[in-house]
Amino acid sequence: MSRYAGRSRAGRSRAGRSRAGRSRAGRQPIPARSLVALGVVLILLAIVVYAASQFLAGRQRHAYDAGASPLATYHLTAGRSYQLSTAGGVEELTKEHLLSSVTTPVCTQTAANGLDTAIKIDSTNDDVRDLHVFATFTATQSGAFHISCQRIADVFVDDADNSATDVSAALVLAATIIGLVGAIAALSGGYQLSAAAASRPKPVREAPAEHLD
Amino acid sequence: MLAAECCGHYLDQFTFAERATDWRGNNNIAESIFAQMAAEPHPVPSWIVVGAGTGGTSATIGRYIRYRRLASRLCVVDVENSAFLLGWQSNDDTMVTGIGSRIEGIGRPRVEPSFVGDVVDRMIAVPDAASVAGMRHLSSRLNRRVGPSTGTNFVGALRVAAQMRDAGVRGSIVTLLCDGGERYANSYYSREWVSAQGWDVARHEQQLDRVLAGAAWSAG
Repeated sequence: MSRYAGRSRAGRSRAGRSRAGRSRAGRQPIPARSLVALGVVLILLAIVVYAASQFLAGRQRHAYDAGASPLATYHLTAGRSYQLSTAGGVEELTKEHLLSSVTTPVCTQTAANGLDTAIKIDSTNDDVRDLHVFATFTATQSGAFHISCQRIADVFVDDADNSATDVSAALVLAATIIGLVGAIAALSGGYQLSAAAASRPKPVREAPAEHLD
Repeated sequence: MLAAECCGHYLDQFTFAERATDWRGNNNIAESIFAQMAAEPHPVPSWIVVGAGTGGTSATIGRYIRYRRLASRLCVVDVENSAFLLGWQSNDDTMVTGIGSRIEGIGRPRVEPSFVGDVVDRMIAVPDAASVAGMRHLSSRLNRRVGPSTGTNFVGALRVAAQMRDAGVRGSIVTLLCDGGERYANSYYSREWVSAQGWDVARHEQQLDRVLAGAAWSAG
C-alpha cells in the first residue's frame, strides 16, 4: 500500500440512516421542507384561533368568562337538573360565608309575571372549580325565569336551555390540537432536513494537500 | 476493548482533546503563541505550522484564529501512514490507513475525533526521512536535541517560508518544538537505527541546506 494511501471505514457513517424516503407502496412521503412549512402554517393558525377564542371569551356570558354578566332570564324545563354558578364559585362564596357545611344560599326564580318561587338546592358538593358552579337544583316549572340568590350579585345558569355554547372553549381546544399537529409536522420535517444534511457528502476541499518528495 | 478484557481502564486522550482547554483563551497554546509574538516585528504570523497527534493543538489554534478574526493561517504537517491528510483532503473523517506512524507523537492511523479539519487552511505531507533530516538540522542549529516531530514541523515551516520568499511576501511563521530529543538517542539519533528504517535522510538534508542557502524548493 502507498505510504499515503488510505480507505474509508466501510459501513460506518456518523450521519446515521435518514428517515426520508421511507414509504409504503404507492404512497409518496411528504417532502421535508413541505412538512416544515405545513407545521409553521398550522402553528400560526393555532395562534390565530387561540386569539379568536380569547376575543370571544370576552363577549360570552358564562360565570367563568371574566367580566361577564348573567342573562336576564334562563329557560328551564321542569324535571331537569341545572347548575347555579357565580364568579369565583364555591371558593368565593365560602370566603363570604355564604356557603358552608351548614349554610346554603337562598335562591329564587322569578317568572315573567313576577311570581317568585324558591329554588330548592339539591346539592352544593359539585365543586367544579373551572365552571364556578356552587350548587345544583331541579327545575319544578318550565319557562323563562330570572334567577337570583341572596347576597350574590350575579347568578348564572350556564347549562340552561337558552345558554349559549361555549365557543371560546371549543376554539381553545381546536387551537391546541392544531398547534400540536403543527409542532409535530415542523419537528418531523426539521429532523428529516437535518438528517439529510448530515448524510450529504461533503465537498472535496478546494486547497489540495501538498506532498513533499 | 483491551481495557474491558483486562478489567482495566482506557484513558482516552484523543476524543475530547480539542476541548480540554477553552480554545477562546484561558492561556491556551494559541493565546500563548500570540502573546509571545506581540513584541515581534510581525506579531501576527502569516502561518502557524503544527503536526497532529490527538488533533487538539491544531483545533485549538485554528479555532482561536477564527474566533479572534486574525489573519494567520494554519498549516498542519502530516507524516507517512497517517490518515489526517487523507481525511482532510477528501473531507472524509472516516478515513483510515491501518498503519501506525513512525514519527513519534504525530500521525495516526485514523482521523482522531479531536481533529477539526474545517479550521485547517493547508496540509503538507512530510516524508519520514525529511522529518529526521529536519530534526538533525534543527538540533545542529539550536545546539540541543529536538524530537522527530519537531523536525516535521521545521520542514513544513521551511516549505512555507520558501514559498513566501519566492512570492516576495514578508512575515513570520510560528511552529512548535514539541519535545526534546534526549530520549531518542537509540532511535532517531542512531544512524544504524535510521538506516534500518530504509530512510534516505541525506537527500533531504541536502535539500534543506539548499533551501536555507536561498535556493528554490525543488522536488527530489
